Amino acid sequence: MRLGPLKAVPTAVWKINQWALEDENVFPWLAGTWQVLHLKCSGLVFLTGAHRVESHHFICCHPLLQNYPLYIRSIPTENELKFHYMVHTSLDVVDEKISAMGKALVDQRELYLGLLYPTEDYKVYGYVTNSKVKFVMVVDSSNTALRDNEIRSMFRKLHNSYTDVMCNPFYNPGDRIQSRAFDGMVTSMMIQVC
Amino acid sequence: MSIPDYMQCAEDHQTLLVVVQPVGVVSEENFFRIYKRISSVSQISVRDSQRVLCIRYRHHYPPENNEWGDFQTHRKVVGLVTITDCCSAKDWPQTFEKFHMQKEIYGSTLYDSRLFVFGLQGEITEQPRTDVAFYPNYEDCQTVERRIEDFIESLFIVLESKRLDRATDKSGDKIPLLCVPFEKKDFVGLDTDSRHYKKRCQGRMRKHVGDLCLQAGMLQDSLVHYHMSVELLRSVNDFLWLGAALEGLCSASVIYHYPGGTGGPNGARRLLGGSLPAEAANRHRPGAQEVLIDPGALTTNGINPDTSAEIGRAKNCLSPEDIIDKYKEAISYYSKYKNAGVIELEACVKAVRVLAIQKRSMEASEFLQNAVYINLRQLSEEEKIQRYSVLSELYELIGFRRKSAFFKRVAAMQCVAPSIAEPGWRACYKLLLETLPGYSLSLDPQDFSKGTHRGWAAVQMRLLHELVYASRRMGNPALSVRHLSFLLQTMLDFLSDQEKKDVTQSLESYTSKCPGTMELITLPDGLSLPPVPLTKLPIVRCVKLLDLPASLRPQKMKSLLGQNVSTKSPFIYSPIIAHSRGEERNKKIDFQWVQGDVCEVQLMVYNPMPFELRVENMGLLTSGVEFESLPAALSLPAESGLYPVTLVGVPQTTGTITVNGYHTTVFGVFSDCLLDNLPGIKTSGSTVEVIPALPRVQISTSLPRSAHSLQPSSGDEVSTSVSVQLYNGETQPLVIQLENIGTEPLEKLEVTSKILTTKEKLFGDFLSWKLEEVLAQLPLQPGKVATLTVDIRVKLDFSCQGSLLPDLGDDGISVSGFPLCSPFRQVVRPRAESKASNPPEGSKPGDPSHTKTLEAILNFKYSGGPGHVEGYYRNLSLGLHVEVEPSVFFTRVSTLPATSTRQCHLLLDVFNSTEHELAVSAHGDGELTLQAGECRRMAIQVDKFNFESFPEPPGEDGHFANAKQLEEERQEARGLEINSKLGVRWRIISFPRGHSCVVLDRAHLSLKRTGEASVEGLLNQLVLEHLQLAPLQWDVLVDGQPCDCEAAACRVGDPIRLEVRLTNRSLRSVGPFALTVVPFQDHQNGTHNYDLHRAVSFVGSSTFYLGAVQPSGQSACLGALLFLYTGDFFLHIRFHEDSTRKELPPSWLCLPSVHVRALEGRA
Repeated sequence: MRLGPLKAVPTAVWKINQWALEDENVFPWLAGTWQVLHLKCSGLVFLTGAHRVESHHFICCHPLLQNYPLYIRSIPTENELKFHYMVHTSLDVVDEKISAMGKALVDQRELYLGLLYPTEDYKVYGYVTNSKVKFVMVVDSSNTALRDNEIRSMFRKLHNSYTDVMCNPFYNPGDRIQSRAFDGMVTSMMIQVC
Repeated sequence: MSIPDYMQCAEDHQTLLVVVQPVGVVSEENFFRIYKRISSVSQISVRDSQRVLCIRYRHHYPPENNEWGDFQTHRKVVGLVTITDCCSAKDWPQTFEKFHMQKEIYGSTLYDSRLFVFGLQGEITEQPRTDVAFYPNYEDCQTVERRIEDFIESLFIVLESKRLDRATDKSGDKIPLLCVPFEKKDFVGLDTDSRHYKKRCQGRMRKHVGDLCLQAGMLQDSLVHYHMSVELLRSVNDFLWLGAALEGLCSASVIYHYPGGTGGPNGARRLLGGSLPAEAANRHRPGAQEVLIDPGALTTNGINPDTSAEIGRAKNCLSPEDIIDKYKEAISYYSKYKNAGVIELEACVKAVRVLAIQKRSMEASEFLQNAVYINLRQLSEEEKIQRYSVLSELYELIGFRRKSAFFKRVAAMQCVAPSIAEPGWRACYKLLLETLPGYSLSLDPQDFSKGTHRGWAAVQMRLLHELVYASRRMGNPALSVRHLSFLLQTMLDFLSDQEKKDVTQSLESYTSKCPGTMELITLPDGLSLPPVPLTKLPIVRCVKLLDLPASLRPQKMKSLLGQNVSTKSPFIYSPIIAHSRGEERNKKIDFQWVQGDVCEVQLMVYNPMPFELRVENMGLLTSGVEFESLPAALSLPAESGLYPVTLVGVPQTTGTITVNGYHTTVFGVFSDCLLDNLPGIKTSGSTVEVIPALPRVQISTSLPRSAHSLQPSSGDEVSTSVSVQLYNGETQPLVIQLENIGTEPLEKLEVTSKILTTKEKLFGDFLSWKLEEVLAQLPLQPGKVATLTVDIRVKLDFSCQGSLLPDLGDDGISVSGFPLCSPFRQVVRPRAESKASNPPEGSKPGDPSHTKTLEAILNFKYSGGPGHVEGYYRNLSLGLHVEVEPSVFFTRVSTLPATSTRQCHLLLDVFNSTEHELAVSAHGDGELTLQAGECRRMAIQVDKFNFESFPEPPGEDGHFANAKQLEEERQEARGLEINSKLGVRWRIISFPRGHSCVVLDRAHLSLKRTGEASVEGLLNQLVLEHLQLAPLQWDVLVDGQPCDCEAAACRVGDPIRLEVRLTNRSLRSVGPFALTVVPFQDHQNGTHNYDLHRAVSFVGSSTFYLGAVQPSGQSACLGALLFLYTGDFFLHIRFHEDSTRKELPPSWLCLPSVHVRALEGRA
């Protein structure tokens, strides 16, 4: 059983973790991908996925980044595989965007990647942390209420929540996220969008 | 136009399309041989200019596409090469007819055509025809390339003439309107004289001329024409043609910028084919780079033929960025026309190829995304497959491997769409295999064995399922088994319980047809599927090689071990050697296995499945030694914890064996799991030495097996143990049968015994045997039995422990040296009531009825066969557990002096603590019967012992032992001596009535039970002293006769001689002594009359003096007595009180009393 993030995390620890997340140069092994899918079908659908990279892969063989999901959530749950494929293929775009950004200064880099690609029914948005953890969100394209700014703030919320997960000393970086707090946050986001 | 050519690239705009087709019956092989030779001529430098012609060959081209030839001239079939087989001259006209019919198909656009006839010989071949070439056969046709070059040159001439013809159209002439097939009806009835219409005609014509220029190798000219065309067409909103003009512009620019080509490997080959020098020549054409457009030079009323006038304006070649913009524009124009879908699609593809070269993947993906949405008419299934495959390839090209994999998978699915009558499972499978890298999936399970799972499990799992299904439908069950086992092995953590069940069920059903093997499967296309050992079914956590059981464990003979060490190094100890050896054997275990013996390896296994797992044929994989593995089958409960499994095998040869892993059969899949590849396994070494075979001995005994386990002591492990119940003092033979159950003869045997430390004091040999009788039976061949008899003799303390000493102390009479008046007092008075009535079961201190336990181990060291040569032996231990029940007790022991000083009476209070009636005897006579619990006294007359004559215990012991130990040993030796003289034995003569009938057998058996009773333990110093023959031997001689027990006779009135002789046997000199002879009469009523002055007279002194007697010296003193009256007289010889007496023990000075009978003197 996983514990949620401890409320009384000492500041120093929290800081280190913050660092770890924000600066891949300090903690390159934390680099990874993380995905959040968000979509709306007859009401609202939200699907979250997360990706991570094994540290040595990140360092040694850049082109062979092994992304795998840290967290996936979708509504409705049927036909989930479709979203798996969608998010999986969208990683190509994420990779491309990251490599294009590579030259930009780390500090000034925009974490939000914007619309990755539109499909007939869905829009796929991406977000990548400095440690290369990727968030992907799939939204029903008919949901016009969600504009860029909303998506951006949702990603920011996710990022904060993910930071909390990482601060949990019982969480092994690279494991699937099973935090209740994180779950709750994602659920509330999905309901909100609905 | 409906059939898109997905392989199109921008360079194709400069090519001339030539269709090569067979006519009549031409075998495919022959056709493609010739086709290959023809298509090798893809570029021709035209003789009189530096221009290069590029040719695109097709062996199949839909005629309807040809209709779009005016729109883009590279779509126009300008040349036709027909290949035909013609064996006889009479077929020739027919063949020629066919050639003409073939020409008709593309007739409207053809510039020229050729017919290659193979196989025809004769006069027909002589006739000089330019359009027909004859070859005797397919081998003998060296001139094909030459012919084609000629053909292309002829095409060039036509092309050039057309170009010039179009380009030099007089402005006054009416320019025909070029149009695409679907436009034709739109222009019916249109005012052909309007400016708008004219401009349209001009624009389209310019574009057409641009195409022709491009084809004719005049890149710069074409650019100019395209630019002008764009201007013209833009002004009249002729979007379709505007798009085409823009695309032409792009194509020309691409050709300029990327001489290597954009079409992938094909383009690259073209580069090698010689386009580079041509392009270079192009570029270096003087002034060509400065060819610029002057929009002002464009006239509205015609096409200015002189392009040179336009030089000096904007550079007309597009920059790489502009190319993409123009492509975008062109595509947006195309998209306005539903009928131009193919054109749009092809433009997209071309643009993507360009972007791939420019490494602008994001934009390329947008183009591709657009291409995906272009809706062509209802596509056939093949076309769909082709389309998805091409999309996949293009995504691959721009580095979107996931997207590429996605489309490849879609294409694969399309191959087996339900609408297809004959699903192409083979193709589907092939395509699916190609998607593997996109999903970061390799089919080598090694890649997944370490670290976390790589890649997206959900999609990987889906792909594997599809591979399994496709391979099954392909009719290759071996493949599906391989894939399914791979799925099970690598995705186990991601499968739900239900999925685990489903997967294993289908695996079982597949393997029933085709069992999974460990062989590498190589697919026809070269891909090889490594074997998938199911190392997770079950999961092995720990591998431990087990030593042989203690009884079979080989041991090295010490002497040989010493030799080994000495041969390794001259030094006794060297840290360097120890270090290197430590490294070398870090995986080697320090015990040995024996050739021919069953050896065991223990695995701790775990079943991760939610159901019972049946593992069959589980055995060991070894190397180094020929090993016969004995496979096991096991059934592990669902989600079992760690479960120990023992795998066994028999090494057949000697050497060093390494356990590399194990093999299993699970769900019909054979797996060879190597330990090196298993993650998280604990192993304590896997290499062990196998020594040559040794015999194996099984032991069986006459005694029942014991459930008792002996206390382990000093590392001895006892394989079997037997138990027996004996009465104290009893002796029982133990017959041991040694059976050689091995295959080697037993050549050497040593037997040793070891008595486990016990509190009990044990007298005599507990175990004794004669080894010779066994050794005589050696060597023991396999299957033979040798017998050894071991005598078990239990002789524990017979004393009554604490209660003994006080009893002895109060019996003063026995210890005093005073002679008793009745010398033959043969008994034995009953014990005091208080003692006799004490039941033996009672809780006296030191409970005499308590059963005692003795334990011993018999060790059989044996060896034989090749193992013996190598210096190994085996040690078999037999545990012996003896319960000793008390038989008799000597509750008290005392001595009474006998009449002779050389003898004495030993009084033993014997107590029967058994439940049976006992007969106790000494020296086999004088049996004494004791009821159960009865205690009686027994007197035994014994000769005194001369302990001093015993040899001292071995000298070396004496040196180390302290005085006390020495004394104890001496006492033991004395006890042994005394005991052997006494020979006290007991015999059970009856059983209590109640028991006898019920346990008849036992009664019979018990009736014979006899034993000895030892007094060793109960003889204390005091008793011993009494039993000891005094070192001073006194002899009293009356009238020269030794007077011991018999009364000496003498006559009244005659003096009789009295001699007292002393022999000193002690080690020191004794004396001097003063002895006084005191005569007295015993009235037999308790009074002694010492007042005999008148009855007895001394001749001389009544007191004798003896001088000091040296060791082993002798001395005597003489005197005489005169009896005055008849009667029985006793003489008591008394020592005078002096200092020397004190120093000697009283028994030394014990003199016999002399009995003299004075008889009536002779008259």
